[in-house]
Amino acid sequence: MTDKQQYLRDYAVREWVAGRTSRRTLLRQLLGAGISLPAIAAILAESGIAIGAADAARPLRIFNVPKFTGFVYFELAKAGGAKACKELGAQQIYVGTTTADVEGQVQVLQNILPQHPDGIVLASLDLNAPVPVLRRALSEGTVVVTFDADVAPAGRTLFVNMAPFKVQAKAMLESALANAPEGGKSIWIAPTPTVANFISQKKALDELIASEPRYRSIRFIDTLYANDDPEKSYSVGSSAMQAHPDLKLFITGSGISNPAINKAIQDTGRAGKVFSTGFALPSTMKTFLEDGTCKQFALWSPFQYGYMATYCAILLKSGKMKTAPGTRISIPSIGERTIGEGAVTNLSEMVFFTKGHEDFDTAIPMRS
Amino acid sequence: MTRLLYRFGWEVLLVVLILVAGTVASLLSPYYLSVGQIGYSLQQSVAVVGTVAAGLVPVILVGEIDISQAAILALGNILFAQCSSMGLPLAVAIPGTLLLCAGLGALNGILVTAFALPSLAVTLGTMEAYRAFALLIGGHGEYASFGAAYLWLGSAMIGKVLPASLVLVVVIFAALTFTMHRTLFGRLVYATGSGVKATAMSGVRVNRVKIITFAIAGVMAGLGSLVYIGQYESARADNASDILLLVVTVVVLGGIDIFGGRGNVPGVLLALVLIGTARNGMGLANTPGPVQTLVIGTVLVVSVLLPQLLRLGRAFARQRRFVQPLQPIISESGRTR
Repeated sequence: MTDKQQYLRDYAVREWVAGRTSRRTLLRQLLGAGISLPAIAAILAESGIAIGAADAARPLRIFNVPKFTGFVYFELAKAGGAKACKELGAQQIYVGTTTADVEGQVQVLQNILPQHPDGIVLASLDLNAPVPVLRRALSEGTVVVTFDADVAPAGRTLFVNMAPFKVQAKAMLESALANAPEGGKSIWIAPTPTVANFISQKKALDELIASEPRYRSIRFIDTLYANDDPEKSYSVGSSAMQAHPDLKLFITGSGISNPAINKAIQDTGRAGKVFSTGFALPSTMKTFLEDGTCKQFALWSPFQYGYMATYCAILLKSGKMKTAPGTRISIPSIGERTIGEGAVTNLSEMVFFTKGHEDFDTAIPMRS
Repeated sequence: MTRLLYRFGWEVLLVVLILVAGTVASLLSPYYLSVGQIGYSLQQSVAVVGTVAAGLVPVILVGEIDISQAAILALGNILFAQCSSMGLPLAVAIPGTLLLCAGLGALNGILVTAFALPSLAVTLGTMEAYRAFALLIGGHGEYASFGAAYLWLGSAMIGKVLPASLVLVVVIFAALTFTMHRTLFGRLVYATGSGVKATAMSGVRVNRVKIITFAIAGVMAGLGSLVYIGQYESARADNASDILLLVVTVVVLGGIDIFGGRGNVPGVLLALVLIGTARNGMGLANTPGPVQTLVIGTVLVVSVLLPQLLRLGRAFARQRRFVQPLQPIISESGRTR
C-alpha cells in the first residue's frame, strides 16, 4: 500500500468513525483510493465496521446524563464531554433532572431510548434502579458508559472510575503533608462504617503510609463517622479536637464533612494548629483556602472525567475500542489507560487546590 | 349537553389538554407517535405515581392528607424484597405486605381521629418512623435480585405494547370511581369531606370513614411498591423519596379539592395521562431539566387557579342575571366558600 493510499485510508476511516460519512461513502472512498478488495475487508474488520448494518450518515449522538443539572461538577464534566464530541465529530445532548431524583433520572433515560441514542454517558444515582432501562438500551446497540457512580455491570458497557484507590490515597496524603509538613496525629472521617468507597480509601491510605517513608509521619489514631452531614461533621470535628489536644489532621474523602470541619477549626480558633483535608469541592472550600485554614486539598478534574467518559463512549460505539480486560486505550491529554476486570477503567488524574488555585480552571494537576 | 359539560367541565378540559400535549409532543419529536413508546413511557412515568395517587384520593376527599405514603411504599419494597430473598411465593408475599401496609395506613388514621390531630403533622411523623423502620429491616444496603414473579406486575408487557402496570392503574381507578361515586361508603367520604360536623351529627361514624380512607392509602402504597420493584428491580429504604410532590400534583390537577369533599375520581386518571404525556414529550425533545420543572409547576398553579377563577366568574354571572346583592357563594355540597 502506498503512502497516498494509507493517507486516504486513514482519512476515510477517521471520517467514518467521526460519523461524518456513511458506510457507502467509506467504501467508495476506499475503492477510489485503489485499495484492493481483500485489503478493504481487512480494514473494515480491523476498524470494527460491520458491513450490512444500518447506515450511519449522521454524527453519533451521545447523551450525557448527570446526577442532576446545574451543579458545577457536572457542568464541567459536560464541558469535557462536549470537547470529546467536538474532537470526534459527535453530537452531545445533555439532559438531566434538576434534583438528585432516582426515579426522575430513570425517566430521563427512558425518554432517551426512543431517540435511538448511539451512546449514553451516565453518572448514576442508584446502583440498580436504572438497570432495567439500560438493559433495553444495550440490547438496541447503545453504548452505555458510566462515570462518577456505577450501575450494576448488566446495565453498562464500561465504567470509568475516578482513580484507583491508591492514587486517591496519594492525593490525600500529599495534601495532608502540604498542610502539616511534619505530619502528626490524624483522624479519618467517613460517613458510616459500611460505605465501600471509604473503606477502600482508608485501606489504601494505611498501605501507602506503611510502604512509603515519605508519609510515615502521618499517624491515624481514630476513625470517626459523620454521616455525610454538615452538622454532624461539625460536632464530630469539634469534640475530636477537644479529646485530642495534640491532633494535627483530619483526613476525609467526604466533600461534605471537609468544609464543615474546616468551619469548626475556624470557629474554635485552631486554624494553623489543626487542618482538615482530603477531598472536597472547591466551591465549598474557597474561604478556608483564602484565610489559610486549609492550605491544600484534592479532587479529580471533572472536566477531564467527562471528557474521558464521552471519548470512550464514542470509541466504543464506532468499534475503535473493546472492553476486554487488559485492553490499552490512548486518550488525548490524559494518556494511556488499561481496561480492568469487569470493564472498568480509571481517569487517575487528581488535581490539587491551593490558595490562588481555588477552582477547577486553575487547579494544579498531581504528578504521578 | 350543557349540564354534562357543567358537571364534567374539568375532565373535558383535561382531555383537551392531553390532546394538546400529545400534539405538541409529536411536533417536538419525531419519536413520540408510537404505541409502544407511549405505553412504555407512561408506565415509567405514571404507574407507581398513579397507584399511590389512587390511594391518596379518598384521604383528600375526606378532608385529610397523607404524606407518609412514599415511606410506606419504601417499607413495602423492603418487605417484598425480603419475601423474595426468602423465596416465598407471591401468594404469601402480596397479602402479607398489603396487610401490613394497610395496617400502617390505618395507624395514621387512628392517630388522626383518636387524638383529633392534624393529619399533616401525624403523617409527617409517621413518614419518618416508617422510613426508619424500613432502614432497620433493610439496612443501608439494597436488594437487586428478585424472583421473576415479583417483577411481573411492574415490567410485563401485554402483547409487547401494553404494560401490565398501566392496566393495573386503569383497573384501580375504575374500582375507585365505582367506590367513590356509586357506593354508600363513597357518599360518606364526600359527606365527611364537605362537612365533618354535619355528617357526624347525622349519625355517621366519621372517624371510621377516615380510618378506612387512610387504610386504602396504605394498601395502594403497598401495591405501588410491587409495581416499583418490577420497574426498577431495586429495593432500598430511601426509595421513592421524591414522588410525594408528583402524587399531590396529579390529585390536585385531577380536580380533587385539596380541602376535601369535591372532585371526580376519573379526573385524576386524566391528570396522570396529562403529566405523563407532558413529561414524555419534553423528555423526547431533550428539554432542559429546569424548563421541565417550570412547565409542570406552572400546570399545577394553573390547575389550582383556574377552577377558582371559573367559580368567581360563575358567581359574577349569576349576580348579573338576577341583579341581586352580593351574597356568599354556596357550593354544591352546601359548604360556604
